[in-house]
Amino acid sequence: MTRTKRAELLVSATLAAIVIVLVFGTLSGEEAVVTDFGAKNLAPSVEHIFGTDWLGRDMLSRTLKGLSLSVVTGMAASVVSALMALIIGVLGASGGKRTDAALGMLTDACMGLPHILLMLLISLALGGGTYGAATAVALTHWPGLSRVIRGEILQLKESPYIKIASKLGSSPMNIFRNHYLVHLLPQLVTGTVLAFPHAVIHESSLTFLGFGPGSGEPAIGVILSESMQYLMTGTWWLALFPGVSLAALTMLLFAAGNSARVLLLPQEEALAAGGNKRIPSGIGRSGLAKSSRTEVNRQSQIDDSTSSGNAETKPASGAVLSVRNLTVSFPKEDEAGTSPGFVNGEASGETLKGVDADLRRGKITAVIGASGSGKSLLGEAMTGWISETAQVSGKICLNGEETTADRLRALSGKRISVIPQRLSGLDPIKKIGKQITRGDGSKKALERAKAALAKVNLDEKLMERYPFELSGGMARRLLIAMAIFDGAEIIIADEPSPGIGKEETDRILTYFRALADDGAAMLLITHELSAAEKYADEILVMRSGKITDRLSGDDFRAGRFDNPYTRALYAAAPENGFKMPEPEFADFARGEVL
Amino acid sequence: MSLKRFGVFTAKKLIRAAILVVVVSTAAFALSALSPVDPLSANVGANALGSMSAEQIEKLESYWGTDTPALERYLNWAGDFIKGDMGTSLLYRMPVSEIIGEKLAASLPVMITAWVLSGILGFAIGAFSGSRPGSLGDKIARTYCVVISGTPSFWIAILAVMIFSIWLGIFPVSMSVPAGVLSDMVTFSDRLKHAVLPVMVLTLTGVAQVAMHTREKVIETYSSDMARYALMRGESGRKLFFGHVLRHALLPAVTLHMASLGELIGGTVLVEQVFSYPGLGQAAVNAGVGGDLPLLLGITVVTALMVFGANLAADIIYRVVDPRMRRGGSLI
Repeated sequence: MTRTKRAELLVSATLAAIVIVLVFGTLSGEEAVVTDFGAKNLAPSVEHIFGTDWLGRDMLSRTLKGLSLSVVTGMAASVVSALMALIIGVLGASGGKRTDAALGMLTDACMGLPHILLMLLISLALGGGTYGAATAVALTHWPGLSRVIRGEILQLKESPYIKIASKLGSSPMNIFRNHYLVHLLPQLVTGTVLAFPHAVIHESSLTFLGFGPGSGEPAIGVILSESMQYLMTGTWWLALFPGVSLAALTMLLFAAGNSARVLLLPQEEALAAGGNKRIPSGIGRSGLAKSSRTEVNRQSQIDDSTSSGNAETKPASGAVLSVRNLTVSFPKEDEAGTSPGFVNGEASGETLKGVDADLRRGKITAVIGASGSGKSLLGEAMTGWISETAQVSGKICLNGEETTADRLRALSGKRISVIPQRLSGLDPIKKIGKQITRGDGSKKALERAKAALAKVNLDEKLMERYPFELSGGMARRLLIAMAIFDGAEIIIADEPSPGIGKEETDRILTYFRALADDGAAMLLITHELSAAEKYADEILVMRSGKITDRLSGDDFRAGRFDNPYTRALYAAAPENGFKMPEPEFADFARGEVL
Repeated sequence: MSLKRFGVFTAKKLIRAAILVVVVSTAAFALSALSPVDPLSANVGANALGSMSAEQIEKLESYWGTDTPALERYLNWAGDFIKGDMGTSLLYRMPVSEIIGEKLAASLPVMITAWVLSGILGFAIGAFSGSRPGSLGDKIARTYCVVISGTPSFWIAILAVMIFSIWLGIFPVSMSVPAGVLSDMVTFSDRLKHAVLPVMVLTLTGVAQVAMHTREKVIETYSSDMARYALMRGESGRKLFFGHVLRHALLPAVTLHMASLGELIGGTVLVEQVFSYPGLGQAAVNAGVGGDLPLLLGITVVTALMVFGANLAADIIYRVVDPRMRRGGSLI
């Protein structure tokens, strides 16, 4: 059953329950108060399903009567609260600074007092009784929702599309109808439904404490409060069944409220649900994604590769890490798996179609290509950190030995290091020193961390600092220092230098060069041709999941390339004049970056 | 510089809390002044009043304060309150501050124990659930939280009485001390025995919010770039949890739990009623029923102070513990 279907079903079930309670509650009005001393303290039976009390009154009728009062109070309370929340929220958001501050104070004051105490005071002010209790409940459930509405309006007010609509001459009425209402109405309805169960619980609590209908009246709180006097006498049903009914009602109402969210605020729900799905299974226990479909087949089925190296099936000699005929695709409906290093190859519709690539000791292999050409996905596959939903075939070899994604992942941070694109990979509240050493406080580890920092020209004092205190360029260098600390022989860097300026990019690339010269095999995924041009030993040009050109760094630097796609890519780079490509190569022009 | 900013921040918060207390006390006073409940007939009884002489009634009226205008009464009360005099309880015929002190002494141990236990338990449940979303354990924990937050706490307390006191007979039914024993004869173990069930109920009902919040936070952290990068550096399992996830989930959980003190007080009011536990909650209900304005006001302001104090503490803890708040801004 889909979420929507289930939500619809729950809402209808709740409505049905409410109707049943109201109808039977009203019908059983007489029975609920009629005393029958011939039938007192009867345990539950077919005739009296909930038993009878010490006056012989039928507990089922009393429960239904009490619940109907709760339902009416709850309904009224949620409607009144929604209206108050709307008025206060709108006034706060649009009524000027002072009004907003005053209303904020009122909201805080309301939320600061324990809810029960506030209701108690209001009920007292109104002279108690059924009316006093109901009003107290109705007047106190707005603060949460009014905050939501205020926030929503403030956000809408600042949103570009509403500003544009207003600039384009849309009338305020139209803007209100077309933009504000569509956003506020679902929030309001959801808030109303969600306030309902709270109101019911509070009504019952208030009447339980004696601030409502007088004793003997069939309010659910009164029934439960009176039942307590008879607990010792063994008439357990007096407290049990009314309580269970009340709890069942409120839980149904809560479920209906959440269903209303699913139906009316799908975007918020999707966000909440998405958080659940994105996590790889088993992450809590093993920390490693399970290899469901990521195993690499020994014999590849696909053989339509047009990549330049399709004749080779063995890894090149001297290659540390190689892929042969690597093909990766994703089932369409699957959610994107994400990794910090990569631009989410899957989400951008990337695939790989029979890719061959080799990383060699001491060499930098650069992968260039348009967005969505598959270069990030290649990086993911070569680390083993590929989404669980990926369908992978082809061969991955480590030092000439065939290996699996699982085994590659187990080498993470030891023999293979990733330098992620996103700085959000750093833990903002963990000291840099501890982050480099992964919490290892030993002297040896600290010394190594200092040395790694020194290699990228970062002060060792930074070990006591936090990543958020770094500039973008420094944080990039920190990521490199972390790879240096790990001492990996394979380093995979995905767009290691976005948005940090030419000078800092150059600096970072010289560190890469130094790392390679120290013996590391590096994969540099980049859209900056100049980066590849300066430092790469081998350049792979990717297009639509295939390697369309493969040339040495020397040839590239000398301009010795005649592949038309590579030429077009080169000519379109900003530093080479931004030339628009021929229509047949327009695929990269559609991408936001090269 | 940081210390100065911290000082300014704290001062601002304190001023705001002070204004809020004034707002709350004014509102509370106004509400009770509005009340048509006549303290005379509520406490003396209409019949007794009928048989009294006008002189006697006048005496009573001045005792209950019904002959002075509300504003004057409020100003008198507020002036005295600032001096530490909260007035005299009409029901207990004792200074309000003394009663509140006595009732707090009974309630605070219960509340603090329940608060700490539910915080630890809730965080543990949330961390467990969030680490394995969709597992059987997670489903059980989530169901528990939904059921608990959907059930009125006073009824859970009644159930506890039915199960533990009546059915199993392990704990006494009510009161903070055994009935019929002089108060100075009550032993510590007696007190403890009577506090167990209230603590248990408040703990079991208190875990839901912090558990669900922690669960969300843990899931969010596990799916963050940070966790993925940590995995890519070979930090998995316990190392990932204790090295990164726990730290990110703990601080919001603590502050949320502090901010939910108001709900704990509300729960205490109900639970004390069920267990006839003579604490602050029961005193508030008695004051409300009996129209004991000074006591009710005193309790309202004291609980508001507690709630605002807890919120302030939460804000300060955030400032002190979270390096982003503590240091703020980047180096360059």
